[in-house]
Amino acid sequence: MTDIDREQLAALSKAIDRLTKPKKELEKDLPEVKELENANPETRGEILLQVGDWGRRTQSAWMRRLSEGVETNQTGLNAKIEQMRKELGGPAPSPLEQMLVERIICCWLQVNEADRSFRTREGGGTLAQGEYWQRRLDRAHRRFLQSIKALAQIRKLLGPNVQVNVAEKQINIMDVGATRKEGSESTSHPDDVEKKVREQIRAINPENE
Amino acid sequence: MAAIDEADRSRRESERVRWQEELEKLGKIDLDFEEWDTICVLLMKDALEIAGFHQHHRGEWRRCREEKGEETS
Repeated sequence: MTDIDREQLAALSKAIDRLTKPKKELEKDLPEVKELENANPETRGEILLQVGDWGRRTQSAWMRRLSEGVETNQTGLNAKIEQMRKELGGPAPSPLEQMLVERIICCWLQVNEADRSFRTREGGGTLAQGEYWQRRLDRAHRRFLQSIKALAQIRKLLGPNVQVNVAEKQINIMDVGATRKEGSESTSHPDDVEKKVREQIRAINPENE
Repeated sequence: MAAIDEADRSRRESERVRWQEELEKLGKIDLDFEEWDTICVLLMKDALEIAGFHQHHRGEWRRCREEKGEETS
């Protein structure tokens, strides 16, 4: 395992630890996590991308089951998934959005697999087996809807992702729209956006100043 | 009659074995997926909390109120 892997896993386990703690302890930890976030935003993005890749491995397991080993089925599924990835991700998705898009695709595959399993067994098997397939389909469907809601929520609360390229480095600025308060119009002025972009550039490339 | 019973028993046994195998195979994929899904949800919540939101009674996400010190300064 490389050093960067260790660093990413440590950050990931810290995030998970923090979220499983009671609320009081969570509030106490918040400044530390903010510090981590400000100090190393690239590592954080890397973690999200790595988790997204993990999702792709799960997708291939569902795809093998759905295509039943037939190559043409597999090709068709791949094309469909690629199309979904483009449509849901948009032109410049942030690592968080990419991870949530992979989650939606995974859930979509699971719903289709559960639906196919349910339909092919219809009329056959015991009553208990029929109930099992029905429950499995319901669960997959519920999770699929939750995954779509999660992406919509992230886009609503954190605002659209803005991508800027500086010296061949891609910078994703996610919190541009996060200054908006509930029930009010967006307070993100173009000058605020520019200020945030400049701050991020300064953090990555201080020589430019 | 005994032969019919025996054939029936053996058919049910093979069906049971097939069902168990299918459950094991599916269970493994489901488990992998659920583990990954949980991490996705945790990371999403983490990102929202770092951006200054909190979840209201496991429901909608709201922006946290600013601290008094920040407001007066």
